[in-house]
Parts: sequence; C-alpha cells; structure tokens
Amino acid sequence: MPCAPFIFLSTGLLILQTSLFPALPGWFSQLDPLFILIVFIAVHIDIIRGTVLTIYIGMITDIFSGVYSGLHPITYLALFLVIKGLSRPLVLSEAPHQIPLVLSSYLFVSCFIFVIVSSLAPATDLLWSWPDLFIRFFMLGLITIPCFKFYRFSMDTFNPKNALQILIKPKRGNKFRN
Amino acid sequence: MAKRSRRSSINKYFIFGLLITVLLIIIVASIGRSHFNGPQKFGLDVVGKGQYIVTRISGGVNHIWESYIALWDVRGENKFLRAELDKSLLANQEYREAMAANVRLHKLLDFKESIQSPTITTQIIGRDPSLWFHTLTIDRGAGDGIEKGMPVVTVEGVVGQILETSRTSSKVLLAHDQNSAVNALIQKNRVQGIIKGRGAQEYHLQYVLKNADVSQGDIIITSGLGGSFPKGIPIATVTKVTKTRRGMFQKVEAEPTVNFSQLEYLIVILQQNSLVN
Repeated sequence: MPCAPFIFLSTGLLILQTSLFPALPGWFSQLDPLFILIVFIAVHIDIIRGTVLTIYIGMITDIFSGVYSGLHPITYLALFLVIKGLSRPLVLSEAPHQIPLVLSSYLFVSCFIFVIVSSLAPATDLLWSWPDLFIRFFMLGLITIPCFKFYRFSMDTFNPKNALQILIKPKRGNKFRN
Repeated sequence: MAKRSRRSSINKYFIFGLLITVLLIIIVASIGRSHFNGPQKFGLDVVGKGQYIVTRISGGVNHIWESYIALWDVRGENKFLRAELDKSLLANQEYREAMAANVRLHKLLDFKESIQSPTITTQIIGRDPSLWFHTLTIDRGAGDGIEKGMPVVTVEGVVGQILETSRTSSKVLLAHDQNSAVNALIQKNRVQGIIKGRGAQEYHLQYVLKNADVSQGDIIITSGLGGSFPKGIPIATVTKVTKTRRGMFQKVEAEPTVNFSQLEYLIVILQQNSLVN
C-alpha cells in the first residue's frame, strides 16, 4: 500500500477540519476524522509506512494547530507505537474494537498532550474539561465506523495489486485444479 | 299464397294508418292546452330522470376536467410564484448580508482610522481543530509585512498575537489560549496586571495586589507596556473578584470583549520597521 493516497487524504481532511467543520453548527464543528485516520493507519498499515504517515500527519497538524512545534508528531507517534504494540495480541483490527480503540486512543492523546504541555510550560494552566472531552468522544464514536469503512475502501481502491486485478481479467475455469 | 301476402300488407298499412291517425288526433287535441296530459307527464318524468342523471354525470366529468385543466394552470402559476418568491428571498437575504457586512466593515474602517500605527485587514481562513489550543489562520502573511508578535485586534477589542507567518498566511494565537499573556490595566484606576487566557471564553487578570480597588464590571484595556499592543484597546470586563486570605494578589476573572466564535475580519497592527522591509 503506497503512502501517497493517505498523504492526500490526510491533507484534505485537515483542510476540511480547519475550514469547513468549524462553520458547522453545534457539536458537528468538533468532528475529527483525521484522528480516526491516525488510528486506522496504526491498525492497518505496516510499521514503516505507518510511521512515515503518522509523522507526516503530526507535522501538518502542527502547522495549523497548537503552539509547540513537534508536539503532534511526537504524540501521534507514541499513539502509533502503542496501538502497534497492542494490535497483534488483542486483534484490534476487528470491527467491534474500533469505537473503544478510537475513544481510548483519544483519551491517551489528550493525557499525553496535557502532561507534555504542563511540563513544557509550567506556568500555563491547561484546563482539563471532561464535558468537552465527552462531546469529542461522542462525535468520534458517531463517525468511527463510517470513517473506518471509508478508509478501508480507499486503501483497497488505491492498492496497486487491486488496480492490477481490475486491469487483468481473471482466468476462467476451475482455479483449484492446478 | 299471393292473396294471403297481399292481405297481410293491406293489414299493415291499415294499422299504420290507424296509428298515425290516433297520433294526429292526440297532437291536434293537445294544441293550445296549457298543461301536460298523463303520458306527457310520465314521459317528462322518465326523460327528466335520465336527463338529470346524464347531466350530473357530464357535469361531474366536466368539473373534474375543468379542475384538472385548472390544476395544470395553478401548478404552473404556483411554480412560477414559488420561483419568484425564492428569488425575492434570496435577494432580500443578499441585501441583508450586504448591509450587515457594510456596517461591520464601516465599524472596522472607523476603528482602523483611530489606530495610529499602520494596519492591515485580514480574513480568517482556518481555525484550530484541537481541544487544547486556540489559534487561527489568516489570509495575510510575511509578504504583506506581517511579523511574529504583531497584535491582532478587532472593533470589539484584542484578539491575539501573530504566532507564525508564511509568505501568504499567518497563524494567530488567540488571547484566550492558555499560552497567551497581554499586559493590561483597569481603565478606571490604572491598576496594572497581566491578562492570561483560560482556554474557555474567560481571562484571568494576574498580579493585581489585594489592596487595589477592582470590582465587577470594570473595563480592562491594554497597557501598552512591552510595546506589542498599543495602549487603550479594550480586552475584557471584570466578572468576578476573589480575595483569599493567603498571598499578595487577588483573583480577578474577566470576560473577553471579543466573541471568539464569531470572528470574521481581523486587523493586524503593523510596525514601522516591517513596512520599511
């Protein structure tokens, strides 16, 4: 699976999240499909490409969000490694695990950012707001499964092997004979 | 055989002639009468009933047909009127929006003219999606003379400071972000402090001594110290004052004069040297 489609997809999602979604009414302004993409990458893409993509997404997020440069790449990379470590023994790629995985990942990222920022700038009173966090959880839970399906579809569509299969007609007859 | 057939034809003619005669007698007898006789009344009743039924049916069909035809016309007319109404509503909405934009930009222009330093008007093109930080992206950058640290304001008051710039756009740290700090003073008695963001639509005015006279409703403005913000731009209104027994300072909570969720156009106050460059 090449990285390019996910690079375009993540860039597009970031543009949507910073320009279109804030204009949406109410809680819809807090939709975060980019975060779900990071979790999807951690679950479904191999470690080398996944690392590259995670760092890329963290870097572009840093441009539009936050104050401390490098915070998002480090946070997302930590999340990626944690999910990669857990994904094999816990079979995290299964559909029933998607929502709990995304929500627990968001909690992990929030805690990570809170701790890092608090240690980087002790004078900064970072406000931990459970109500805001629960709204984010709710919105993430709402879009997790459709997003996973869409990302899976994108991954399958842009996979060169699948593209070749579309171009080359399959052989007729009993394929199990040989 | 021939005789029998001739007799029967004579009988037929006779009966026919008889009937005609009776009929003529009835007709002649009825001429000049002002009312119907029994058979006429009976005929009228029967035919009348038939007429009634046929008239009702044809009337019904006619009504349905006319209604259907009329419905076509009404539908067309309705469609046309709806289109006209939509056009009018759209035009009305555009006029309202143009009016609102005019008022807003007029205020912005007045405010711009009141600032001594050169300014540049920008539009917001992006907002921080994060839960933890509050930044904006604007459509002007280093190419327009914008530099890191420049104050960003609006008609209502202080918005924030330039955090990063590229050639065509810049990132603004909003004043209510926890990482933001602005030198401020209370307008009525010139008591100084530092306005710190609290994340939500709230500020804390820090380092205000306990003996300072601060009360709810006091207006906080920029002090001009540090050289970043010009003096006298409104920042917030005091909402709550708490004096604890310990410590030197009182806790002053304040509400921003700017509604950060409704920002559209911003003014960046430039510095002279950036224009020279």
